[in-house]
Amino acid sequence: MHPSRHDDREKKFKEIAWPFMADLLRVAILLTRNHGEAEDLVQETFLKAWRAFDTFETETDAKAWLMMILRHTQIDHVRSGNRRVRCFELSENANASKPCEADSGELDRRWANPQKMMEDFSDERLVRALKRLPEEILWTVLLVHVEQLDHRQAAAILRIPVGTVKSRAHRGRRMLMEQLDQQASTRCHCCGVPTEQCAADAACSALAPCPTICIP
Amino acid sequence: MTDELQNSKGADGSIEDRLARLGKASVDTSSLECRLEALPPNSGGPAPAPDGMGWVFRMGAASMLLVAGVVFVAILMRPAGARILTSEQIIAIHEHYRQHEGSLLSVATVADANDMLARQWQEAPRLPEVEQVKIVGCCLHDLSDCRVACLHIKSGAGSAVTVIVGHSRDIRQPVKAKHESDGTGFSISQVGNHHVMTTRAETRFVALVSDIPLADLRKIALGLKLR
Repeated sequence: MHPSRHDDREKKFKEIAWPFMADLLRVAILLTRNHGEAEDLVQETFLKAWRAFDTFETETDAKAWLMMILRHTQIDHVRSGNRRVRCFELSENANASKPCEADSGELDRRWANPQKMMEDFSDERLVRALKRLPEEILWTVLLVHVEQLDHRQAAAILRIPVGTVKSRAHRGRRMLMEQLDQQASTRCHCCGVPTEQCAADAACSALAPCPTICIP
Repeated sequence: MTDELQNSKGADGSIEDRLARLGKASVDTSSLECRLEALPPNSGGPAPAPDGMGWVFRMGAASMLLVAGVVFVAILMRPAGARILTSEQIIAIHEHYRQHEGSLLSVATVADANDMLARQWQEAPRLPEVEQVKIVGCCLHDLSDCRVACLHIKSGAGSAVTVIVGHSRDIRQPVKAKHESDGTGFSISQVGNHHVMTTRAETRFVALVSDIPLADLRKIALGLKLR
């Protein structure tokens, strides 16, 4: 390619794509929970975008275009085994969605002050809860609620109808609420402190007591 | 509307707000930017396609340039393909990374820097070991027609110094080289407050640049393990 044409193309690419680098990296981190892996994913996304840049139409939404490439890249990574398997099992998936239908009344009562409830959760806890969402629902939640894309854009990226995006987003919020609720309501069986507030943060989990500070 | 329904809607809204806040959390892209900047200019890029009859003109122009180039090389008796990196360009690289230290790959030793750069550029020239300085970071820097590896260090007084290493097949040592006491030939130039020292070591072009006094820069230059 002629150097000046190459420079123009590169300049244009940087103007259009680079402002969304942080958004892509954020989504990739939330998907992989591994910064290095997320950077690999975004780097590959940018390379693919660069190769396809001649087909990009300037009136197209660049963020949605890049997110779509990121999504395909991530799927390729999962298929090729380049990615670590997320700590998510099918049985968890099945169980996660059922109680929120059956116990929604009780869940809502516990969330009488939702604003405060949400403020109490650290980013880390929130990310941990997000991690437990099924892949398709996680993508929907990330695009619609974290990246604030509208339903139409998310539908185009995920290649599903707008109605499905809405229902997945709703289902994702409910599942997230349930995950967070479980974290908040689970207490250490030896000290009675909610595991959310337990000082032995790393050792505590919904399933285990906090051995560091609570051993009688 | 029941209380439960109101709570449910409130919880929904709170989750949405909290997730939106998560989306505003800052993400450090400096390392990724450096990785992307370090990629070869045409990596993965589409091959250029000839358009119309422009290639005829370009072929003709290229042939003329080639002839001119051969004559030029024959006159100067210098190896073809290598270019001179001007002092201004060397200083520009130094200043860029001095102002954007965050975009450097953080390393503690020269060996780590060599390992890291080799992962991103298989042909990366080896950075020389350097004595009695603090290693800050490294990077790859693309110029219009060649690429160099950079090592950023802090002198004993804490001033920034950049060591730039390229392949001598890409970058040529300027003609006037002043011999230093240990026999290593360095070419020294000054632009404003900056001093630039360049030399050729084996198959590498090596440059040092800083705004520290020349005597201090010389000491660092003499501490380079160039062989």
